[in-house]
Amino acid sequence: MTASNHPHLLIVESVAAGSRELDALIADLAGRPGFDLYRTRQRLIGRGPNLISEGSAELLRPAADILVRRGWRCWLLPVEAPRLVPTRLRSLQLDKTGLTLFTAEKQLPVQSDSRLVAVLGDLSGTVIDKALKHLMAQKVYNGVDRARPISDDALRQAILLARPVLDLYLLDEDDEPCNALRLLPGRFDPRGLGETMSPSAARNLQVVLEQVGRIVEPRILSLDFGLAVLPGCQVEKATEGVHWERLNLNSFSRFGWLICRMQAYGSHRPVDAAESSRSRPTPPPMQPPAVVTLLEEIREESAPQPPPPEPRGGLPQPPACPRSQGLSRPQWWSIGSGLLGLGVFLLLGNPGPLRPVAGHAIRTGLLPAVLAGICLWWGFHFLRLKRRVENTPTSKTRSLALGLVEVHGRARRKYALVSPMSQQPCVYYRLRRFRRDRNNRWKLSSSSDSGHVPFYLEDDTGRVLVDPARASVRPRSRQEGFSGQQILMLERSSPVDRNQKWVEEIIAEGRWLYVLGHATENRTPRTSLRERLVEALRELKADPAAMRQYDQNGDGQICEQEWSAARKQVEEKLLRQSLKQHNTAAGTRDRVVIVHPKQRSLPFIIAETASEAHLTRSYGLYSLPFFVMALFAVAWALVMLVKYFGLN
Amino acid sequence: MAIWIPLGIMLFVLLVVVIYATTIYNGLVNLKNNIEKSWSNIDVLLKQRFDELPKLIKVCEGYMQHEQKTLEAVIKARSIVQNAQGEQDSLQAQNLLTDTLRSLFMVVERYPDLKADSAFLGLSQRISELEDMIADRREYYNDSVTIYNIRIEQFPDVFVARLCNFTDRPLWRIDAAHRQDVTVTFQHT
Repeated sequence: MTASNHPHLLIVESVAAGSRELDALIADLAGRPGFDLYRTRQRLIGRGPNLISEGSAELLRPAADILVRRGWRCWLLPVEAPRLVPTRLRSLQLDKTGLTLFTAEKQLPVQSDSRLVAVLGDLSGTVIDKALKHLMAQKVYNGVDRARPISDDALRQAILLARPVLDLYLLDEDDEPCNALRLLPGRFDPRGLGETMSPSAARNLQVVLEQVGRIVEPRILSLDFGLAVLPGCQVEKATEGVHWERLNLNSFSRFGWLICRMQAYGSHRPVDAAESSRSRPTPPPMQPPAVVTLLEEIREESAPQPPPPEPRGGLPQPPACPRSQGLSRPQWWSIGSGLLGLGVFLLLGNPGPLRPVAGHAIRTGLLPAVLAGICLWWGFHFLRLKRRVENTPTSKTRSLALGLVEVHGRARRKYALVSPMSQQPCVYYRLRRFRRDRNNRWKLSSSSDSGHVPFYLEDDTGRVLVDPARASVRPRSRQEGFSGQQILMLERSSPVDRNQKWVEEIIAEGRWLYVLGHATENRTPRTSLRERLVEALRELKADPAAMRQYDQNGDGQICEQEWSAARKQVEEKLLRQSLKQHNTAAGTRDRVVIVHPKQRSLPFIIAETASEAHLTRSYGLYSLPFFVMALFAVAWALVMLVKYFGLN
Repeated sequence: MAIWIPLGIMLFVLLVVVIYATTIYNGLVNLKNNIEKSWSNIDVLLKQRFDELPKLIKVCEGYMQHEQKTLEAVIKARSIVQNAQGEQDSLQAQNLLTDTLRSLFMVVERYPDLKADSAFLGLSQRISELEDMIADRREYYNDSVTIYNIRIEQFPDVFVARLCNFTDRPLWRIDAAHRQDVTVTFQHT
């Protein structure tokens, strides 16, 4: 097999988030053999070096050239098995000249002229979860395009707190690895660290890493094990009964070897650039201080940047849930229904003194009549709702009049609200927890929602604030799971309890909403023009220097005409100011908010639906069974009544 | 039993019908009032536009020394609105005011200094917003009227509507002149 036919890996340094440059690059790579666009995009966004394609060097080189021309760093490496497996460190000795590392067979000095690559990783896989969670939170709070990856410092700390392992690869003059050492916390004698030694095994590992960095700057310090997508470098989750530690150590060895290979081969350069560099006079051999090492480049990239502009999607934290004052309407309904149920149970099911009362209520037809009345009330309730929805014309958010309004639009978050279980950005969530009772039935144990968090409803003319407190909310997205089980399965710290379950209903951001509620003025403290004028004139009077400007005849007094002119000028100034403020603040001010109507008979509906007809149809369907039940209950009541009074 | 039970059921059905008819009646009353309310909501905006005009004229006066005719036309239209009696007169006066305002904004194109004035910008934006809102509320008004007109002709609402003398309401139609195509001519020199 010739060198060009030998299988190669095309590895690219990924970026944190998508961009126009990325889209342009993907468009350039489109249609090239071995490039799946979806996978390419997925691999180009992330952290650390990622494999984007495999194949012969001949096949991959044009793509690598495109990547480099577009400003991406990439490596074209031949596929090969690791030729060096790190040996476990037994002890070490730190002195003024450097650090000496001892294995079972040999000792290796680390001095200022040493060349080395350091790879720090976590064997348990928890760091992957942490990085994913961080990224997800970034996407939720800052938007997909502005997500920032976990920082090096945070990642290093997370690794050291998890199950850390450190591999040190010593390189020869050609940057080829010649020796490798593996440092496992608690598995080497730290006494050689002297005063810097710590009782904590992880801390000792950190000290070694710091001392190595002090003596010699590693060519690469890689923290991306598990985060970078490279062949044979997957991380097994730490689970019982599986040799995950051994498997992950093997993966870690392959990862370290690939990182060393990337250092040895250097990042890819297009052929014309390589040829032109060959045609130039050979530069003098670079001394280590002059070498622009990968580490320096990484450090430049990660150097403190000026604070980024306020993220476009940066939303404030949701307001804290206020303490409930008294009972809400649904709670009253629950109590009322509970009492009614209890009453029926006592009347029918109890053999005590209430049983004759129940029998009498049924025999006289009273109980069926009450049941008919309740069914009739509910039937008409849904019918009225149906007609109310049908009879209310849809308003535009731009021109909402105060009072009962109906609006359609997309749900947009005002606050960075995220659903508690599925971790989705949403405008509303309702979470109910159930516990299995003795009869193996689910019983509601707790319920919470985000009714205290307002959101926006956006249509083609603008947006309006909606305060969902006490609204009848009809979300369509529903997830459920057992306690200790989350949708994303990022954590398995607590065992799954199959006797408890949760049900989460959400209205995700961007969904079509129907809102029927009461539009009212959003009362923000705002002074009128007249009040401001009075205040400004008062200030003017208190300032003699300013008053002198209006003393046109110079007599030291402000006459009526002069005061009138001053007043006119101040008024004009305020008018201009208010117009300017109106121009700048018009878009951001929430003039109107849709809330629960003060009149109890009026509805407040928030339904996740694109069609009003869907809503009215469902209300019509709800009313029908109540009318049928009412009819049967009336028939039953009549039969009992006729029998009781002997009218037959 | 043979008599009492059907009789009772008939009474129940009658009760349901009466409640249903009441619901329909209340719904129609609600719709009728909704039309009145939507009309009043338009009036609120027209009044706001009316109140903004003196400020606009005041700002324009300083720059438009040679456009007194246009400004006077706006002032005149405003006073016609003020003195209009009855719904039809008021509607015509408002349409006239809209036309004169449109002419004013067209003339403003000749005065770059005025266009750059922050007060004028604020006022013109405000009036433009009001115009948009008026258009939306006209649409809302017409929706209210349409729903009402359909309801009073639909079964079973038609019985209640006829019994209680609910009559149909006219839609707010725009002037025929505004529906004509705009003629654009280019002067070639």
